[in-house]
Amino acid sequence: MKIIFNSDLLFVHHLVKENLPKHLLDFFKKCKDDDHEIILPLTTVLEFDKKQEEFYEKEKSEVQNATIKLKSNGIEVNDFDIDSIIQKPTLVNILTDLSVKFKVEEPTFEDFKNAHQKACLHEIPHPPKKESDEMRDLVIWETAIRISKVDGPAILMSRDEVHFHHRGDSIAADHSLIRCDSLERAYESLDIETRGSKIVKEKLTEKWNDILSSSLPLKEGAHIISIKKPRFVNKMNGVINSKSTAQIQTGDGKVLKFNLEIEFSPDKFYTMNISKLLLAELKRHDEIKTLEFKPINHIVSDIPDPLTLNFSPVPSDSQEIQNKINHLNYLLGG
Amino acid sequence: MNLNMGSQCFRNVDIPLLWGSRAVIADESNKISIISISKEKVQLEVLFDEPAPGINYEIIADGFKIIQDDEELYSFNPSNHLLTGLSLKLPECQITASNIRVGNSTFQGNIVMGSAVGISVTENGIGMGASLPPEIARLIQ
Repeated sequence: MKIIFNSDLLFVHHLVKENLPKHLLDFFKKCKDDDHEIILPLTTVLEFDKKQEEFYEKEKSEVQNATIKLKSNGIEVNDFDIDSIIQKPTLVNILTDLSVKFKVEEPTFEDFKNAHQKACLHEIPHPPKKESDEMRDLVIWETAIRISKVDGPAILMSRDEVHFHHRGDSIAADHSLIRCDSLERAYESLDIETRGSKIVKEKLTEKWNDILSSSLPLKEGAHIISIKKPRFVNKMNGVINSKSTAQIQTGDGKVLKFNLEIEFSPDKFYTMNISKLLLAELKRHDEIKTLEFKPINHIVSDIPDPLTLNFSPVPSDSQEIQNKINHLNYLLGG
Repeated sequence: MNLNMGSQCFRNVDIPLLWGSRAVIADESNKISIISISKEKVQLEVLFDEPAPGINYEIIADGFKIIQDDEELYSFNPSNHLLTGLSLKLPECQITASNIRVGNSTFQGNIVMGSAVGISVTENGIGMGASLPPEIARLIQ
């Protein structure tokens, strides 16, 4: 899979001396292990390198000022070659050192032309409330569409509204361009389990027999396909609330997709709420990503939506958490 | 507030470490709490190395990301006390028992007395012994 990076997801807020931040390192390592190719639009390379140059000049200046200050106070400082101590990193060099498969992609004239038209006429993917279109965002968009059109499914890594707004959904889908606004969403798109999805999956597995014997249309052989976008909230009573989207293969040739909300603590499971159930028939050679889901009550009429399973009574507020808050208040007042 | 944090000694300061608009506090065992002082409210986001109650977060490989209105603000790694800005464009900040690191700058063994902010971190730079940013001062007043 080709993974195209906008600069906002590669942004590093300091001079890269030894390594990129761990979350980026881990991602690139995973891409290397699974043979995915990183595509760097020229814009991304230019912006990353420019920012690193700013950090580099600042670092050099600080070292030089420190040297002057020390010498002015009679402290001996050996002569040194600052350029051999502080290196100016470039994105190409960093990825080369990581031995990641990558390519710098220059926009074509066609990319520029299409981006220019979209900018002038505020065409899709222009979000409705955005006042102006940056050409750079649209050039990256056109580059990404071109790559996915020519080379097959690709991922565009970007948080930018122009790339992510739902107005672009149809064009992205038509060209097999998957848009991910974080590394975790990219892991999910690459079918790599994240730590969050693993936790939710383990919790579901704990109660699998209860799920099988519920009114959901599941048979022997049903299994979890994926847990996506798991979000968590801790509560004052020590309970963890998690919301995500789940897909389960039903065991009889169908895929069930639903919103999942669970409440649990490390040693107990409290409730499970399943809602917005959708069902799709899985035919041979079907890709899970291309299935056509329909609301379950169009297919099976007697499934409650939402479906709630209760396992244990929810506890009252936790004294442990209150104690922690009290301790913080004490520190703040100290 | 009087606090020893990352080998710095903060005496009579309002906020020992201000990371953007977030106050960062460490207790005696270097467990980190983070309070957001933004918009119209003050909100506890991290409580002694864990997401605070009521805060939306996503668990990641080495910690968690704080999420607000579906936007990923920053990540926190409890094992090495590293704060990394995501949509918040701030330099990395790490608080250990022996120092506070912000980007490539390391603070060790400093004493800050009587300032509103001990160490101030913004997108543009770092400062010591700063006053409260006006918007935060208005909020606290």
